[in-house]
Order: sequence, then structure tokens, then C-alpha cells
Amino acid sequence: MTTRTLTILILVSASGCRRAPAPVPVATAFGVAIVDASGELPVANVGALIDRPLIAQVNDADGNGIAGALVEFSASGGAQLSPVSGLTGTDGQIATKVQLGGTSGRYPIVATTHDKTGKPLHVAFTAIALDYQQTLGRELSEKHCARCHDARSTAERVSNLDNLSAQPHAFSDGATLNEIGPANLVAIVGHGGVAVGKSPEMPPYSPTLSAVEIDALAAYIRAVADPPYSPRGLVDANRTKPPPNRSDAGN
Amino acid sequence: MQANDRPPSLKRIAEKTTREWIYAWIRNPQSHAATATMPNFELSEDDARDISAFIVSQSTQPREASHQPPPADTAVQQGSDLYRESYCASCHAMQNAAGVAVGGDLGPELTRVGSKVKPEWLSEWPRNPAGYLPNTAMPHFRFTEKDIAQLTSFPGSKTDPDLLANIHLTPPAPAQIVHGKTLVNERGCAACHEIEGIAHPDNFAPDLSTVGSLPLARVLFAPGIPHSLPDYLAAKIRQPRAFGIAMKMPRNTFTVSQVDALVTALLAQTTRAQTLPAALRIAAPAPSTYQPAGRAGKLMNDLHCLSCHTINGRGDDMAPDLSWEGSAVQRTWLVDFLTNPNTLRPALIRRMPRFNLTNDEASTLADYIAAVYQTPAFDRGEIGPAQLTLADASRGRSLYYGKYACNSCHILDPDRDKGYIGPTLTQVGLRLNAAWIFHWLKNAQALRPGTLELNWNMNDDDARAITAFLMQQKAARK
Repeated sequence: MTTRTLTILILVSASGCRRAPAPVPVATAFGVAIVDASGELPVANVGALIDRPLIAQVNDADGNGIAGALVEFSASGGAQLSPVSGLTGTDGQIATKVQLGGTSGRYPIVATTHDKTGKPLHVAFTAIALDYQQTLGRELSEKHCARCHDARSTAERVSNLDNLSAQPHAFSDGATLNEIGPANLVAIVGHGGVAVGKSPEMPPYSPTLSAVEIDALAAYIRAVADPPYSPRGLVDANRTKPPPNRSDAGN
Repeated sequence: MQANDRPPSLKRIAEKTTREWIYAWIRNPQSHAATATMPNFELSEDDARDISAFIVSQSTQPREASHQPPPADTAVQQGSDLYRESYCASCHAMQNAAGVAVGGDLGPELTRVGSKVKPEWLSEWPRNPAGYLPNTAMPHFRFTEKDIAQLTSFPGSKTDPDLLANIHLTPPAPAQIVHGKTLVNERGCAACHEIEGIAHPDNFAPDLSTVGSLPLARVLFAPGIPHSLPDYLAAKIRQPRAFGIAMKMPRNTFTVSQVDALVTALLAQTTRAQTLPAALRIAAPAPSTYQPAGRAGKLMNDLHCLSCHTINGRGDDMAPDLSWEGSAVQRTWLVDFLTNPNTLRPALIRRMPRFNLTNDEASTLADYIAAVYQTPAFDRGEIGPAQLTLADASRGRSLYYGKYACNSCHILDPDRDKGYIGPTLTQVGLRLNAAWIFHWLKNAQALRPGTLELNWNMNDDDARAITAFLMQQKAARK
């Protein structure tokens, strides 16, 4: 028994030693720009390892990727990256996997490289962690909404977006969807486009989906908006009101 | 990967494939098919040699090979056409030039099947799949001899010269076969496969019913793994051999989210969960043992309808649930469809194959479906032509294109409509019963829970008007 415990202790301490951070490699080339090459926003539920990696690309003056440039990734808010640094491959790209932290929201991630003079170049990424309600909303969206609201087609699911005369907005289209207030967003989903004077091509989901499910969908839509959705708080609401008329005060 | 994947019996494997292929497969199943669900046992060359020797020796032996010349290119082309016409791709995938598997996952991937199966086996297989593999999901197609020769030439041509290029096995020594048998016992092959001379091992792997309560003090962590139970379980699933090369557990090919899901399920297997009162448990629905009756039932078994359709709780979900199909469709249409299935949903890649049924077989099936598979919710004849007026139909048209915008998802007039999601409605008046359409419009979710069609909660007047309009749609098949 004692021998076994001792063995475990030795193994544990040995493994502890091996977890020292990997040495940062030395750059063999320098670019003039660093860009985001990963495409869509990475979205997953809290704490999850995101399937699709983030990809940064270091370019030369002609906009072609260059190999051997050192890229360092940094994340905040509890997100873990693997690897945190490395040299770009022959296509000028380097990928890192993101493990989201334990709270929902947006995780800023920055990739940094240096040009020949040592000046740092940055590109910013955002990874989105969905809470339970938003994850439910995403599942509902995949089943009921994505066929029309997502322009991308796969062999399994061909997009219906181009068949509609009212062009549905992608849920990441924050510029448009952020302008729709919370009550109207729920009304559009539940009672259809006609409820707010829009096209009947958006059907009413109210008896099909419960109020809880519609709220979850709305929460998901807000979570993935780009630019991010910020609800109008008290301060914003007051700002849009006309200033109080002093002469009326006291009457 | 599907939960009902049943690894095949190996009692007749030597009739189907060569020892060289078995060797390549057990060393790395993914080298043959990207979609292979068999895990990688990380066998050494010698172990794979001996296991393949034993597997072949325990099997029934093939008849003499016929050594036919390989089929001409034109035959392969015709076979490829027949493969597509028969919608084999609804169940079987093949990798395209970019290495992406295209097709269904119900049957095995066929990208390199020509390097796997023997030509004699391949030409025998479609004649009666259940004859070789009694629990197969593959339907018994009614192919003619000419069809079979043509059809099998196409998958037969899908070979990969690299797969077996460097495998040169000499006839096995008896000691190697004995060693192979020992390995097959040690690795637990018979826990999944039926193997002649090897009993199914009971409780082969450690019991996991309380693994979620495993004290960390009892866990031996491999180097580099954070010391927590979730990390330990994930590492065991991803890289079992990191815990010691003598470990028996094979390495599965799981995605990140599949590993997450498995870890979550395992963490729920706690001692506390075992003490929960039975009343708090939500049991999975009991598996249905539904069996259609009579001559039609025998036909449905032969055609393996339940490999894709669900009826009364039994079956799979690739194709629509048929429990109430008799209330939905008209018998004439059904006979026509069974004889020559056409495409109802434009964007769907998985389609009902043509089984080449005789008229008699199609009528037997249609009669049974029409008589037995009816919903108790309404009488399919309750709305007759007399109750649907022309005025209704004309109002229905404006509701269809206006208030309800059905054309967003359905094509009714191929010249102007473009919706991809629902079935085409060009001849829905010949296909569906009026009462089904009426109740479908009122609440489709009640008739087929989970269908993509909304619960429109439509009032009777609107539903009757649209029903009248749809029952007018009887365009001739083009």
C-alpha cells in the first residue's frame, strides 16, 4: 500500500515538472501585416473547446502569407489557447484552438507578430461563449431558422435564403438586428413578420415554439450579434428623451 | 456513428474479403474508410498478422474464385448510373476528389470497397443481403441478373492500390493461428463481433456504473494531464495508450464535442445517482417490438422499410414516420410511388430507392398501409369533394400566396415558386387526402411531432380554403 502511494506521488510530481511552458520558437521571417483568416465567429457553449480553430495569417507587403513568422496569441477572461505561440506554416497561417472560460459572453483574443523593426502588429478575434439559454436557442435556430437565415448551403441542408423575396438577415447581422427592440424581436418570432409590418414570409412560430423557447432564440440572436448587442439601459433611454422643460417644473 | 451500429459477424468473413485486407483494417480502420467506427487497437505487425490468420481460419471458406476478367469501362459507367438511379448514396458514402465523404451513413462507406470485397462475394451480396448477414439493414432490391452484373461493377472498380500494396503475408504457421486466438480473446474482439470458437466475454471491460464518484486518490494520471476527473476521463477516451502501452482499451475516433458528451455522461454515473429514488428517474422509452403483419409484413421485412422509416415507435429516422401514412396519402398515388419513387423534396439528397417491385407487391404494401396506418384523430374521408367549393379554392389561393406565404418553403407552380424546404405541391391533389391537409394546416405538430411544418393554429375557414386550393393541384407528372 505504502509503496503504491509512493509511486503515485512520484508520478504526480514527475508529471508536474513536465507541464512547464513550452519555449517560444524563434522567428525566421517577419511580415508587414497580420490578418484574421478563420472566417466566421467562433461560437460554443461555456467551457467548451471550440471545434474550429482560430487562424491568423502573417502577410508580406504583397499580401501573400509568409512562413516562419512568430505569432503569439493571448486571451483574457479565462479562455485557454493551444498553442499560445508558434511559427506560421508555408501558407503564412497558424491556428490555435480555443477553450472557452466558465462564464458566458465574449472573449477577446489577440494575435501578435512583429515586423522587421520590432514593431508589434496585432489582430483581434472574438470567441463567443453561450450560456444554457443561448445554447438552447442555438439548437432551435439550427432546426427552425438556419434554413432561411443562413445563406450557406451544405449537402445536408440547402439554404432557402435566395428563394425568398424578403431577404432574411443572418443572426450575426447586428447592424440590423440590434435595432429591433426586445419586445419586437419576440413578436417577430412569435407572430411572424406581419406583426411588425414586415413580410409574411417570416412565419409565426408562436404555437410551435413555447414562450421559453422563443426567449431562448432571442437570447441566442443577441449573443451572436456582430457588432455586439448592448441593451438600451436607463442611461441610454434618458438620453433619447427631450430635456425636461424648466418652466414646467413645480406645476 | 449510430447507436444501433451492429458490428458484423465474422463467421463467414473469408468469403467476403482477404486476409490482407483484414490485416490492413485491424491495424488502422480509418485507412480504409474515414467513417469507420471500429476503434484502433494499435496492433503491432506481428499481432495483426496472427489475428488475421486466426480470423480467416475460423471462418467458412469461400468457393473457388472464378477469375473473371475485370468489367469493361462501359460496364462500370453503366453501373455508376444504376448506382445513382438506385439511390445507393442515400445510405452509402464515397469520398469525392477532395476527400469529403458524400452520401449517407446507414451503410458502410464504399470509397475503397473494391480493394476489400472479393468479386464473387460482391455479385452475390445484392441478391439476398440477409442471406449473408441476417441482421443487415440493407434492403433486398429486386434486381435482374443483368442489373447486378452492371451495378456491382461500379463499387468493384473503387479500389485503392496503395491500401494493400505493402502487405505480403505468407501462409500462417499453426502457432501463429493459436497466438491469434489468444490475442482475439485478450482484446475482447468477441464483445462486438460474432467469431466461431470464441464465446462472447461477459463484463469484459471495467464496470463504469460509479465512475463519476471515482476518488482522485485512486486515479493514476498519465503525465501532462490536469489532475481532475473530467480531464482524466477525456484523456482515457482520447489517448488510452498514454496510460501505458499494455492497456487493452482501443482508441476511438471522436470529435471534440463527442468526447465532451461522453465525459458528461460518465460523470453522471455516480454512487449518489444510484441511490436516487426510482420515481425521479426518467427511463428511456422501451424499445418497440412492432412487427407489421401478414404478407405485407413479410415484404416490409424483406425491403427493410424500418431501416429508414419509423412505424409505431420502431425504426429509424432517415425517412418520414409512416405510422399514420394511410390517413395521409391516396392509395393510387402510393402504388405509383412504391413502383417508381419520385422526388418530393427538391433539396434532399437522401431519397427513397427504387426497389423494382412488381405491381402485385406494390399493391399489397399500399393496401396494408392504407388500411392499417391510420390516425385515430380523424376519418380520412371526412372531407369530400362536395365540401370544397370553387369559391373556397380561390380564397385559398390568395391565402396561400398572401397571408401564409406557403410559397416560401413549397413549390406549387414550378414556373414561379422557389421554396426548397417542404415537399413540392404540384400534384398534391393526387397525393394527399383532403382531411389530412385540413388537419395538417390546423396543427401539423400534432400529426407528426417535430416536423419542420409549423403548428399554424389555423382557423377552420382558412384551413378549408387552402385545402380546397391544394386539392385542385393535379398537374401531370413531367
